[in-house]
Amino acid sequence: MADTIGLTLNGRSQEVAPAATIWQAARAVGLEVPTLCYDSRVAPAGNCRVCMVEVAGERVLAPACARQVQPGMVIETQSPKAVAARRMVVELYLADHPLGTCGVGKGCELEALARRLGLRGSRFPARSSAPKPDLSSPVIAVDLSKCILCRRCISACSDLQVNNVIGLDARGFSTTISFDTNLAMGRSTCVSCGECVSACPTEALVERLHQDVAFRPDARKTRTVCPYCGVGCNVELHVVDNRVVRVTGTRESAVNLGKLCVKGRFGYDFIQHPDRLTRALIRRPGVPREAADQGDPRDCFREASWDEALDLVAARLGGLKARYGPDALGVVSSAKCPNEENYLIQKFARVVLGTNNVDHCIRLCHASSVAALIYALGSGAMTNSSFEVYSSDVIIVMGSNTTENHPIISSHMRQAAKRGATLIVIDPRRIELVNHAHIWLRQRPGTDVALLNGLMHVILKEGLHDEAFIRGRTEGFEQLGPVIEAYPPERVEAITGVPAADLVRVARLYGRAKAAAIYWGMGMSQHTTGTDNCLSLINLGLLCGHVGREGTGLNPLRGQNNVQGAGDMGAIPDNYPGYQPVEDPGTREKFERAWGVPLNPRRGLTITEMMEAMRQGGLRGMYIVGENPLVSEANIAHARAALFRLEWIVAQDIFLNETARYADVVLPAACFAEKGGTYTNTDRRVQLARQAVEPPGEARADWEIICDVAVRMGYPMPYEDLAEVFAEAAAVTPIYAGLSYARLQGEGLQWPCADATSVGAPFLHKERFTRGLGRFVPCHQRPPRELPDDDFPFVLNTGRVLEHWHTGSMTRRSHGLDALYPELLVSIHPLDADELRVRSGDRVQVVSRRGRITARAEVTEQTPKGSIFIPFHFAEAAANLLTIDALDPVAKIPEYKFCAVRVERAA
Amino acid sequence: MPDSALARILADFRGERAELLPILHRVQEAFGCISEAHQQEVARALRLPLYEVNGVVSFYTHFSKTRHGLPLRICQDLACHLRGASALIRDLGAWVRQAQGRGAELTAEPVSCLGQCDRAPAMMVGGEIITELTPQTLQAVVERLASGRPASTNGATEVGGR
Amino acid sequence: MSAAGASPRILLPPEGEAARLYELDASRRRGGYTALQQALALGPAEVVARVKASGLRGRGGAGFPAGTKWEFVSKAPDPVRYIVCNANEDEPGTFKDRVLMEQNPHLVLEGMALAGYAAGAREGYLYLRSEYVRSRERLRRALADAAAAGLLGDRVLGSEFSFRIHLFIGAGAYVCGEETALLESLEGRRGEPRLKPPFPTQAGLWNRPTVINNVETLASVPFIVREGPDAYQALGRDGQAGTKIYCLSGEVARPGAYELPMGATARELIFDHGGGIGDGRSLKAFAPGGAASGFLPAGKVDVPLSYEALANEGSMLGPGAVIAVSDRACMVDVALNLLRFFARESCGKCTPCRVGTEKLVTLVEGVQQGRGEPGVFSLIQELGPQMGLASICGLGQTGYNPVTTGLRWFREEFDAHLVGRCPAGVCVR
Repeated sequence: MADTIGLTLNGRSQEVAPAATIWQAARAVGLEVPTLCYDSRVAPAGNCRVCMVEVAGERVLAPACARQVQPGMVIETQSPKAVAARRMVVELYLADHPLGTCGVGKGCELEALARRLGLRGSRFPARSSAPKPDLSSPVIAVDLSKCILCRRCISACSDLQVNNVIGLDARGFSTTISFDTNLAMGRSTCVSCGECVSACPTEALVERLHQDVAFRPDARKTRTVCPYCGVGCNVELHVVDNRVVRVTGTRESAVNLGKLCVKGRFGYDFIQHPDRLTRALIRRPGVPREAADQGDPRDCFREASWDEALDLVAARLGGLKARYGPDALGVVSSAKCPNEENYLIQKFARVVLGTNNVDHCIRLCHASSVAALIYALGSGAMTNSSFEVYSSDVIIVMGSNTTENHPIISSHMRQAAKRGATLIVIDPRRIELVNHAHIWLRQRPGTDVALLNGLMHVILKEGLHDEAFIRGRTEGFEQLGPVIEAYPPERVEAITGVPAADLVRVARLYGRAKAAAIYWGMGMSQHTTGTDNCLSLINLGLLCGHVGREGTGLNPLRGQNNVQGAGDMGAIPDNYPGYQPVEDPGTREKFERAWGVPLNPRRGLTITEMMEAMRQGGLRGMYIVGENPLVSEANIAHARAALFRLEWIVAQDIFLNETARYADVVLPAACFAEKGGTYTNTDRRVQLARQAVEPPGEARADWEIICDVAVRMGYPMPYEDLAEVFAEAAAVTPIYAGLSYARLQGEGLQWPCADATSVGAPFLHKERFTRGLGRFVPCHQRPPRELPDDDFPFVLNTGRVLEHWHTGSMTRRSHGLDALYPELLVSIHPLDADELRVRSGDRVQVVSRRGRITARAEVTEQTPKGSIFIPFHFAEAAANLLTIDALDPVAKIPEYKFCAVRVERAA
Repeated sequence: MPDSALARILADFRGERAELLPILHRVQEAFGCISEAHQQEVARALRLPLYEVNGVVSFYTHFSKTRHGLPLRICQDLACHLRGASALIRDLGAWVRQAQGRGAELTAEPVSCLGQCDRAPAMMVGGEIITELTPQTLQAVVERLASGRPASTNGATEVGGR
Repeated sequence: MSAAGASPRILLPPEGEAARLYELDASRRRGGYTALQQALALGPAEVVARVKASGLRGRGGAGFPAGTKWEFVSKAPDPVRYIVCNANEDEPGTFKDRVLMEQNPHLVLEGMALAGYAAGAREGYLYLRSEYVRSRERLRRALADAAAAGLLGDRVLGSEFSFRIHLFIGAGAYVCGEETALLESLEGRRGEPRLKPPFPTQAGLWNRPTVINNVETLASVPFIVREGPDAYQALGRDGQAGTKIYCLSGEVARPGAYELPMGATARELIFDHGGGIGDGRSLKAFAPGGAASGFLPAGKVDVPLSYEALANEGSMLGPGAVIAVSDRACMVDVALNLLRFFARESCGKCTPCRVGTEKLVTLVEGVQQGRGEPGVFSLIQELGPQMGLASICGLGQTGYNPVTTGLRWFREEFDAHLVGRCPAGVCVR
C-alpha cells in the first residue's frame, strides 16, 4: 500500500495516510472537524452527525469520523451544506439541552460547540418530560436530562474498561443510557471506575465528590502516578487551594490510556483527611504501648518539634546500636515510597545503622515469585509488559483476582479477550475475569503444583513442548520428566478437582499457542509452597518456549505502586540496589567505595525473620516507614507480642496507623501527592511523579526526614533534591544506569536500561536469560501447612477487594470508597451458608487456632464450597488475626492463602 | 437458581448470540414478559452482558419487561387511520378499561402498521389477525376475550399457529 | 378481486388463493423450481448475467440493480457468503410481500436458492416480520416440503449445490427493513443501521459478503432465469423492466395487491383496478410509494409509478404502495399520522432522525391544534432536508416527506390551521 494517497480537502490538494478517516486526515493538515460522539480510543460510532462533511459525488453527507479516505476524494468540511447540517444537529440538541444546562463546571462540549457555531438557542420546542437525576451512586452523579446520547459512556464502559454495565434502553426519542436492566447506577453492577464520567462530553455524568470546587477553572493539574497498585496508572491531580479535589486519567499514558479504577479516581481524599499526622509525636513518659488500645491513641503522645524528635531518634538508634550492635536494629521500608526514598532508607540502614536488616512488604506479597524467577531465570521481575496482552493469543491468569487487584491490567486482558485472545482463568474463586474467560479451571485451594505438573504431563505426552527452545535455552530438562510423569490428568483430577478433559484442553491451548503469557498473583505466591508454585509456572513457560518473546512471559503482578522499585533499590536484606548480593565481596567493595564506609558482610533479616528475632530478643529497635505490620502480618497476635518486646520503635507515616500508635516516636510524613520521585511499576516502567500539594502542618517528605536523622547520626546526606538522589542510585544500579529525570519526563522507561542510549526493554530474556540458561526446577505437590479438620473445617483465603487497599489506612479514609464498601464481608458459598443457616448480612464469627473475628456474611458463589474469603483491609476485624505465620522455606513468605477456620453464627 | 421452565427453553438452543431473538420470543410467549431475572438467565446462557440483553428486549415492541394483560394490538397507521382507526382506538381503550374493571386481563396497545392495509382497520391478538374492523366487531372481540373465549369468529380473520 | 385486464403476471397467481400455489405440487405444476433446475445447468455466472441483463431492480424501495449486487458477492474473495431475504415489510401502505409469501411462497424460496447458487452462498436467511402469521405458516411448510423434495438443503436436485434457508422472525421494528439494521437484528442486536460503507455485499451478515434482496425482487428471478432477460424486460412499460406488485390502500373501493406492468399509472391502479374513491368522494392526494414517499396531489395521477418518473416528481417508488387520500381527509392530520409512525419507529441511533422526527411531530401537533407560530413551516422545510442529508439511514433521510410534500402541494390547508381552521373539519380544537 502506498504511504500516502492524494485527495482534495477544502480546495487544496493533500497527501494523507491511506488508512485515515476524513476526520484524521483533516486534523493532520490542521483542519478541525467538530464532533461530539468521537472518542479516538475506540471505533467511531458515527451517530452524533456533527462531523458531517461533503464528499463530491455523494448524495448525502458523510461522517468524517467514520469514513475512510479514498484516492482522489474531494472533501469540503466547511461547505454551506456541511455547515448547515452541523448547525441543524446542534440546534436540535439545544432544544432539549439549552445553553446553561451544564452548570456544575465540568464543562459541556455541546454547549461549547454551540457557542463556537454562534448558536444561542433553538427554534425547536423542548420535550415535554426529561429523566430525573440519579444520585444512587456515592461517587457519580447521573443526570440523563443533560445526556446527548453520544454513547461515549457505553464505549468507555464496554470497549475500554470492558465492565459491560452501560447500554441503551428503549428506542427512538425514548432511548436512554441505561445501567444493566435500566437500574439506578448505584443498584447496578457498576464498579464505579468513572470511565463513563471521563468520556461524557456533558454533565450527564459527573463526579460527586467536592462538586463545589472540583471544577473550578483555577484548578491546577499535576500529572503524577497513582498511589495504589503496581499497575502504575498515570493520573492528573486537580488542585484547588492546596487540596486535591478531582483525579482524572492521563490519556497519553501508555500504561493506562487514561483509564482508572475506582481507587485511582475516587480514592484521594485521604490526602487531606483530618487524621493526617501534622506534628512529630513522642510517647508520654510512663505510658505503656498497650495504652493505645483504649480511647484515642493520640493521647499516648505529646507533640514535639522536629528538632526534638529527630534528636531523640538519632540518640536512641545510636544508643541501641552502641549497646547491642548494628544487627539489633531493623528497618522496614515502604513500597509506597518512591525509588529515591527506598534507596536512601536502605542506604541509611546499611551505612548509618550498619545492618542489612532492611526489608519491605515484598516479603508478604511476591517474595516467592521473585525468588523463583531469580533462581530459574536470573531476574525477579515480570518478564513482559502488561500491554503485551494485546499480542498474546493465549492468556493464562492463575491465582490472581486481577479485576480487583490490578483493575487496569484486567481491563487490558478483557479487551484482549474481546478482540479474540483466548483467556484462561485458573482460580478456586469464581473471580470476575471468569465472565470473560474461555475456560475456567477451578482447582482446590493449595493444589497448584499438581495442576501445573498435570498440564506439563499432557504437553510432554502430546509432544507440544518446544524442543529447540529447551535444547538451546534451558538446562535441567532431564529432571522434569521423572517428576511430571507422576501427574497424569486422571490423578491430577483426583488431587485438584479439575476435570481431566479441561486440563487437556488448557494444555493444548497453551502448548499450541503462538504467543502465550502467564500472569499470576498472590494466589500463587502466598503459600508455604509459594516458591514451588512459581517454579512450576516457570517450568511450564520454559517447556513451551513462551518466554523471551513479545506477548509471552512469566508475569507476577506486583501489588504496591512501588514494590518493584523498592526491591530494585535494595530495600531487601540480601541485595544492594540492582539485585547485587551483599554477601558477594566484590559487590560489597564496590558499594563501600561508593558510600565511603565499610559495610556489614552478613545478609540481613527478612520482615518475617525480624519478627522471630524480636521474639527471641535479638532485635531491639525498629524504624518502620510507611508500613502497618500489625494489620498486614500473618498471625497478628503473635506479631504484636513480638513487636511489644522491642525496646524502642520509631514510626514514620502519614497516619497514626495500627502499628505507629505503639511507637515511641512518630514522625509525620508527606504522602505521594506532596512529593516527587520515581516509581517503578509492575512491568518495570520507571515513571516520574510530581508534587501537587504541600504537606499538611509540619509533615515532611520521607527522604528529608531520613537525611536529617542520618546527619544527626554522623553521616551527612546532603542532597539538594530527589533528582540528585536518583542520579546516585542510578550510578550504582546497573539496570537503572541509563535512566535520568530528563529521560523520564514522558512515558517513563522500562528497565533494564544500561546506558543513555538504551530505550529500555518491554520484555526480558530475548536472546539469553539473565542468568544464561533458563533452569527447570521440577517440584512435587506438597500440602499446605494447616489442613481443615473437624474442628476447623473451612479453608480461609484472604486478599483484597476492589474498593480498598492494603491495611485500609488510605482507602477507608476516602469518602467515596468507604461509602461503596463500608464494612468487612466474609464470603461464603451458598451451600455452606445453608448448612450454617446464615444469610447475607448475618453476623458470623470466624475462628482459627490463632484468633477470632466477627463480621457480616456475604453469601456468594464466588467462593468455592468449603472455603471462605476475607479481605484483610479492616483492622477492627483483621483477617490476619486468623492467618497462619507458617513460612515458605525459601522466600519466607507467610501462607496467607490457606489456613483452617470454623465459622459460627454470631449472636 | 435457574427457573426450570426457562432452563428447558434454553436447552433447545446452542447458546449462540444469534439465537437471542428466537430465545426471547420463546420466553415472551411462555411468561408473557421477559423479566430482569429472565434476562439474567438468558445473558448467562449466551455469555452476553446483561445490558445487551436489556438493550434488545427494550428495543423491539414485541418484548416487554413486565407482564401486562393480553395485548390487543390495534393498528394506528395511515391506511387504518383513513378508515376510522382513531375512533376505534378511543373505543377500544374505553372497552378494555371496562373489561379490566370486571377483572379481565387485557391491554389496549396501539401499534405500528400490521401490513393489513388492504383489509383496514386491523388488529392482532395473540397469533390472530382480525381485519376490516367495525365498532361492532371490535366490541365483540373485547367481549369474547373478556369472557375467556377466542378473539375471532368472522371470516376476515387470519389465524396462525397450525 | 382484480378488475385488471389481461396484463401478464409472473408473481401472483391470477386466481389468488384458489390456485393453492403454496402447496408444492401445485407450485411445481405451474413450473415451480424449473428455473432452479435450469440454473444448475447454466452455471452461476450465467444466472448472474441473466439477472443483470434483465434490468431487475430492488423492489423494496431503494431500486438498486439486483444483478449488480449478486455479481459483487459472487466475486468476493471471502468464500463464506449469505443470502438474506428481507421480508420485514412494515411500512404503512405496504403488504405486497405478505400476499406474495402467502400465495406463492415457493417462488420466494426458489428465488433465494437461485441467488444462493449465483452468488456462491450455502445459507440463506428469510427475515420475516412477526405479525405475518399466515406467511410464516406457509413458508414453514414450503421449506419443509421443498427440503423433503430435494429442492433445498444438501445437494439441491442432486447437484453439488447445497443451500439451506433459515426462517428468522422479527420482533416489531420497522427499521429492521433497513438492510444493515436487519443484519444487526439477525445477529441478535438492537436493530440499528450500520454506517455504510462497508456495504453488505462487502461485509454483511457476520461481516461476510451478503446479498440482501426484497421478497418481490427474489420472486422475480425464476421467471428471468427461465424465460430470459428479454422476456422480463418486455413485461414492463416505457423502458421499465418486469412487473410490479402495487399495493393499493386508503380510501378506495377495492384495496389490494395488484401485479401490473412496471410503470403503470396511479390512475390505472386507483380507478381501473381499485374501483376509485367510494362514497361519492374524490381523490385529493396519494402517496405513490409508501409512507416515506410523501404525497402527490390528485392531478399527478397519470404519472407512471416507476423509479424515474416518480423521482422526477420529487417523490419515489419505494416499495410501490399507493395510499389514496380523499377530499374528506385533512392533509395536516394525514401528515401527522405518518410523522408519528416515523418517530415511533426511529431507532434512536443518529441525532437528526432521533430528535428530528420527534420535533416534527411536536411542531405539526402544534399546527394541528392551532398553536402553530409563524415561521413554523419554513422551520419544517429547513429541518426536513437536513435530516435527509445527515441521517444514517433511509428512515431519517425520508421520514420528513409526509409533511414537506404536504406543505408543497397543500400549503393552504396547513396555513388554515395556523388560524385555527381545519378545512376538512377533521382536526378538533
